Amino acid sequence: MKKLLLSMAMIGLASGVSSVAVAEDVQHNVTHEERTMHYEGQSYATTDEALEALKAHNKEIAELIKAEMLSNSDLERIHEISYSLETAIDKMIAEKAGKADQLGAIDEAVQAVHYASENHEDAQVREWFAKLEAAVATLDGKIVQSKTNADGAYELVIKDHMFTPDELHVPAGQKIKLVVHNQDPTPEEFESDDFRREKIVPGNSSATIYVGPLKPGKYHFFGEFNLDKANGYLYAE
Amino acid sequence: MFPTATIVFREIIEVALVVSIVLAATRGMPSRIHLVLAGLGVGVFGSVVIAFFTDAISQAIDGIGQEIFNAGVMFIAVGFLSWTVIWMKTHGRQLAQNIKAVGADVMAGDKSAYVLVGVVALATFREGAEIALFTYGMTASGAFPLSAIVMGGILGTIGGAAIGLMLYMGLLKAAQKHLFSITGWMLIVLTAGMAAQGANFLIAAGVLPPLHPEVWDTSALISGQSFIGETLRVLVGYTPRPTGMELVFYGTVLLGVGTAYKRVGKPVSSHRKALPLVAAE
Repeated sequence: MKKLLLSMAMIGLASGVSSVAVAEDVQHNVTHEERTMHYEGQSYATTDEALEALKAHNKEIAELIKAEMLSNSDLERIHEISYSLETAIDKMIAEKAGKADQLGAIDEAVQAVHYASENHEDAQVREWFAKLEAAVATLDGKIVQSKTNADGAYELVIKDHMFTPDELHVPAGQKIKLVVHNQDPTPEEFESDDFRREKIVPGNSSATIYVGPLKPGKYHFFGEFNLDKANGYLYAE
Repeated sequence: MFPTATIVFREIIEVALVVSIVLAATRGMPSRIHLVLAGLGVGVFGSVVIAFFTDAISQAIDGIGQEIFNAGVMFIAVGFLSWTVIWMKTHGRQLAQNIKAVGADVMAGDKSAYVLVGVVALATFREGAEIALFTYGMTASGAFPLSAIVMGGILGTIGGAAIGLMLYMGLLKAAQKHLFSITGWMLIVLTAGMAAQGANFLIAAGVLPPLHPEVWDTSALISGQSFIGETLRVLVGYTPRPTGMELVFYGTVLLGVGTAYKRVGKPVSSHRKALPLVAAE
């Protein structure tokens, strides 16, 4: 039924006549020319920005497909968004911001959403968007590596005896540099039994700690002087 | 009170385990109690000084001062402990057999017994400095009243010392006959563990390569953070994820000091038998 309505709408639009069935959904008339229009995808300076955009755009699409039937303007919007999704995932693939197979799955889903929305295939859009969301979810927080500073070091801040961030994602198999900034006035001992480091970080100062190379896995670290609060995990991936 | 008690207990226990084995191993050595107490005194004083200069130590040598310092403490302790083990092997028999009078003779002119002061002081430095820094932080943060921190410290110390005393008494009881060889080997294994820890500090400083990032992983079996894991770390140098370099250091010290320990102090007669008959004498 949906498909039938959709094709009716398409025929109606193609011929420049508004179909009664979709008149309420369509906010502004979309001509055939507009529908196949190509958009400019946004560009992203960093992989973090790209990932953020990927998530933000997915959220928007998720809102749109809550509707029982996608209107032409919805599909058009999704199609427009897909250009940005493409530049985002291209950026992440170029920068290897994740495992190849996971990025590949996202790329495939983005392409499929792109074509399905272009052809106004409601069901296809929904199917592939679900795959896209699932693929992004596997990427989220697990594979994306934490940012490093200009020196290529990972930074941790201790404030009120807590670590920020309390999760670090670092590459496995290579030595990494960790800079711990203690912004509390009191000293803390940065320690990990898992990756075998202990270092006292005096109050209001920073310490550099070399870690690894580590095997892939989850490594606990903590502040020995505040075991109840100062805890975090380092993921080597 | 409890955070202080817990942390002080954790640190004191490390010192107590080392000291109790040293005490058991040096049984019969005259005035060893005094030497150990002197070592503790030097250790406590040194800890406070180290804690005070933590900032300067940390910043030294391009930020790896702390690792180098810790490695240094470890390796000097390895040297002193090895010395103690060998010394006891060569003098232990006499000391055990001939009670005080001869003991004094053995000691006379032999300043090496002062090594014992060094052993205990070095075992105290790192943990002591940690306690000093921790209690300073607790006091400065004002989260707990001073009395609670002091009480916690006392409780932790008593608890840690009690474990040490238990080990000491246990060793004397269980190992009556072979006390020297048992405690001797315990010290050798403990020393090897210290050498591995020292190596780990040098790896952390980037001075030594790890050789192999993780030769095995037994963290699921005995976590390094558990009570058993920590105790085993002090006693036998247990670490759930050793690097290749640590094993090299461990093996070298175990083999080196172990071989020396077996060789020295053997009855002279057996030595002669092993030698080919030499005419010239």
